[in-house]
Amino acid sequence: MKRRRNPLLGYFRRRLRRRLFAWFGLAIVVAGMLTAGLAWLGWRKAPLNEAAVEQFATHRFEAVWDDDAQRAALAQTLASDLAVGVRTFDATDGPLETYGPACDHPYRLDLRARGRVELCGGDAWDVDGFSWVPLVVGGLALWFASGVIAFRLTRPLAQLVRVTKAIGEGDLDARMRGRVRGLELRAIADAVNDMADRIQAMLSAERALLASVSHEIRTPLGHLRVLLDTARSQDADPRLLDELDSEVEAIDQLVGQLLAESRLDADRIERRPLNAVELTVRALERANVDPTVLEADGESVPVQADATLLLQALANVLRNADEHGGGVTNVNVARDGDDVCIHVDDAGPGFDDLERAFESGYQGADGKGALGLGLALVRRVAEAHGGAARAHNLDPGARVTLRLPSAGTTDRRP
Amino acid sequence: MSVRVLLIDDDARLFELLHGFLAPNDVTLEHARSGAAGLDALDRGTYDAVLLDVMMPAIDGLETLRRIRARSPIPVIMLTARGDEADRVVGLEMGADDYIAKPFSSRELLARVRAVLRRMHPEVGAERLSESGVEVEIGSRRVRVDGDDVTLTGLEFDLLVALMRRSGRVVPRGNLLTEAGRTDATVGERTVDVHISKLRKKLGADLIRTVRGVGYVFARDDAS
Repeated sequence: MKRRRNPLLGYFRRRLRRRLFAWFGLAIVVAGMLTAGLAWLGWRKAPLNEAAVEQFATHRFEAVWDDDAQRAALAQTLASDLAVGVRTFDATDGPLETYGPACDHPYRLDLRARGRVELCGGDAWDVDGFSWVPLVVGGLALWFASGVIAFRLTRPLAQLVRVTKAIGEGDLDARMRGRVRGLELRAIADAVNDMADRIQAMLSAERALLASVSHEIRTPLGHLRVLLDTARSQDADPRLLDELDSEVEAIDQLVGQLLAESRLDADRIERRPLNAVELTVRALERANVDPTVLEADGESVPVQADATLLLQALANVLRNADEHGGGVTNVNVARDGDDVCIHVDDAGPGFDDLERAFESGYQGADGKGALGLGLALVRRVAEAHGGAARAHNLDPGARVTLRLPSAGTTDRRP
Repeated sequence: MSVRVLLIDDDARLFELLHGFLAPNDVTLEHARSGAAGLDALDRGTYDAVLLDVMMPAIDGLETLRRIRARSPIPVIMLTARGDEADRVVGLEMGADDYIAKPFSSRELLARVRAVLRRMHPEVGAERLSESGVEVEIGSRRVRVDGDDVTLTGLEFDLLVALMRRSGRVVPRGNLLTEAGRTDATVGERTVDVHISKLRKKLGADLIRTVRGVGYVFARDDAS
């Protein structure tokens, strides 16, 4: 079976994960911007009026500038009380006193011709030295963490989608496995597993019922056939009896299809070494086809297969050719490398759609055929054995080929 | 010639119906409802053949067959369900003489019973085979085609009888020699082809038909 893209799984894998990641990133950026904006507003509302402080300090220095001792005392008091660096310079730029740390961009208190004072607020005052690096690194780390969180949140969801999809496609053994973190997700996983268990139990009960009912139908059918033959030996209308016989035969064929289907569904395939020629002869007998159409690579062509299923499949191909293909013209059993090929040729108009010939429900141009069950079963049987069923149009007629690995040990099913 | 046949099958209704069909055809059918009852009946009475159902509760058909074979070579025809081909294969491997799939045609069953008995007792005198205008008297080894006498060699006669006993069914070349009683190495499979082509010239070309690579079929009246 071809692995189809699962759009829901793709959604969880890519879109949801990417969207969570993007939203986390956006949230981090917005948070950073808000923080920065609030901080800026805070600076604007700083309780200190810088110009007033400057003016106050300038006036104090002007008052004591010429007295070295008082100036030095003022500079020292200012440095210790305001926790700033204070440096004083005379008119010729010669340094006088230095208290506290120095910096590149100090506040200058200009005392005109008398000199100047530089105030250093340390790093806190140093706007150019403000570093964006830790903020960006922190943001990125948060974002990376958000990616991990998004991945871990979506992983069980992706598994959930995979499992429900598999169950929907008929793989009833699919289950949510592994430890699922998070109470809600674990509850969902348990519910899904529970559902799968119950569906599986329900289906297998139904299959068992179908198989046993099909089997039981054969008992009254057998009685009916004996009664028909008894009636035949007692001068009943033979035409009527022939009709009855063919109806019984038709019911029997349907039962055979049902049983074969239920065997395939339940995976009850019992491979054993068989002779493909002998099996084809029996299929010819069962489908009431003249056995002389057969041609074989000798009396024995070994094949490893389930006799019941292969016989049913061969009989289906033969009946199909007989009823819809204008009669079987040739049956060929041959070795082909490691495979055994069984060709059935007919004289009919050919298949109008070779691709759909083996689909269930395909009835062909004449619209006959019991729900198109026959050839669909043929393909299922061939594939269950690791082989294939193909249809070709000949000129005239058509050919259906069953190819089976002769050793049969390799199971090529997906 | 009336024959006694034991049906070992848990389906009592099938016995009633088959009994009704087989009685006018000189076959006396007796019934055993289980494998154990069947084995008892075989110990107490004499039978010409056994019809043995594979699907039975308690001792199943294959186990019953194994026990029958442990004590007697009586002809056994297995009644298999069509859904269980594996049982048929195992049954034949275990020594069943023939099989017939349920739901079977009673006429087919009668034909199989007679064929099995003939194979078991080829010496039975006044046996006659008649099919598609060919009449064969086995005791006197006389053959008539549309009423005219035809002279056959020993091997040709044996081959014809083997084919007619399975008329309508494919007889592989290998089996043909065994069933004609010629298992000796002096007759190869090529020789069979030569003798069949001589037979065709004497009987008429379309009576014996070739299944290429496999064997031969003797045409049956009702086969279209």
